[in-house]
Amino acid sequence: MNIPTDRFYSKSHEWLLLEGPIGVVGVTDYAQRELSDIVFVELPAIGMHVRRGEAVATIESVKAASDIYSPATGEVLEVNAVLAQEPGLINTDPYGKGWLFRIRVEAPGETERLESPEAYAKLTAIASGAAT
Amino acid sequence: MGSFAGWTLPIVYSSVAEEVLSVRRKAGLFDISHMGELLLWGPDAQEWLDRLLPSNITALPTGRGRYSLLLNEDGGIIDDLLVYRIEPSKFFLVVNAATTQTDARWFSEKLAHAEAAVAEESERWGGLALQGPEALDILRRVLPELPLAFERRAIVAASWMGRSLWVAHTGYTGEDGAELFFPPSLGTSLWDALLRAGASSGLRPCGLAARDILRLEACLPLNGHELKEDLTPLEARLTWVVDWEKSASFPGKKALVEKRRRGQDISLVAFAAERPAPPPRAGYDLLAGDHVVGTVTSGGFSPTLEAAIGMGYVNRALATEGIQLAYVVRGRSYPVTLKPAPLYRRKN
Repeated sequence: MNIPTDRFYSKSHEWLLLEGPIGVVGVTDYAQRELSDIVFVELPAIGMHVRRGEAVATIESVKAASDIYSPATGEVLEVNAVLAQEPGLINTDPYGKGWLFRIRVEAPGETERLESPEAYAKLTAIASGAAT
Repeated sequence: MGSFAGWTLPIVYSSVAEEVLSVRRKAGLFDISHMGELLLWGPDAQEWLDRLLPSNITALPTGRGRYSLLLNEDGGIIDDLLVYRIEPSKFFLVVNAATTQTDARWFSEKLAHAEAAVAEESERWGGLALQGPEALDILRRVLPELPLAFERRAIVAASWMGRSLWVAHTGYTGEDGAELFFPPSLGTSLWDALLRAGASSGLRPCGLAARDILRLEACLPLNGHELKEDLTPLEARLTWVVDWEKSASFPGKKALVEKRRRGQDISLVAFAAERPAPPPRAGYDLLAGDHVVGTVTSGGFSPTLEAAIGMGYVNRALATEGIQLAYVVRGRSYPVTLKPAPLYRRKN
């Protein structure tokens, strides 16, 4: 399971990468594997103000539709428009080309409520163990 | 893995899209052991099958199979099945997993006073489907005794590790290929041998999710989705299955003749989304403007056509190619166009 050490993680399997005051949001490798083939993504509107923990996007896989929760509070600045044509990028490159949206992070202190890469690795190891 | 009609089945091995495309371009191997098998035999077997099924069974030669339907007295579809005549008075029926017991009971009640018997043999048969343009070449490497002239829907006996199995030139993916039925103990060795033999040809194991998309692209109906007891071959566009002229009557014939005269209210259609859209899922409304004019029965993303596709029932007046309808997901409307079926047709 790939878990880059440069970002924060949520228990609901989103990641947040801080670039100064801007946060980039995506879903984790664990999440894309669980979802399997992603075939459609509905992203938040640019300019929308979202709260941490709020359902802001939907990913549809062959299996089902899954809500994506914002790991931070702030204004949505940009969405990954390429995903409309190529939602499978989330499967092939969840931490890179498969990013979902950028957000102006209002309260950097919120990251304390997120998981470190180490804690997230532990969390998914337990989840994987329980699933088999 | 997932549950289906009491069986635990592989849903996906690697990626649904990759599995679908491998069947379209090379070959895929499916475990279809969940399918139900019935054996029907006896001096009156042919005559009774002709009275019980809408197809002409008298005209079915030994060594050949035919797609058919079990209908109730209203012409409603209880199940779809493949009927193979394996001996002049012996028939091998392949039915859906979820309806195996229903079908077995249905036949045994109907045959109560016939010189014919039915046996539910699902526990005695494993099944594999090898599908794709390379499928038959791969199969011949493992079963070299397969006849060179192996026509569509033919069924032949072959042997593997000293035991005999049935090989049928058929499938449910819209691609060329074969289905194999064998004693369950042969399953793993046959699976492994086929995968080994097909490795150089791009054969890969495929799950139930890929099979569902493949049959959807080919607009092959699935029981419980397009086929239900309150729908007849008229709505389901399966009238080609019905032999109206044969001398034997069959359950539902009277109702079907009457409905054919009157015209049915709804028809099965195939559609594709015009732009990126969430997969249309069974049960979604199909809309013309603000009016609900139909229901989605199956849908998903087609890796072959690179579009969201589906099948559903709509008011017959609207069941015309080129008609634009829409479905709504999370408050957004996604337009679809009705297309000729099948949505995918193989080239050869």
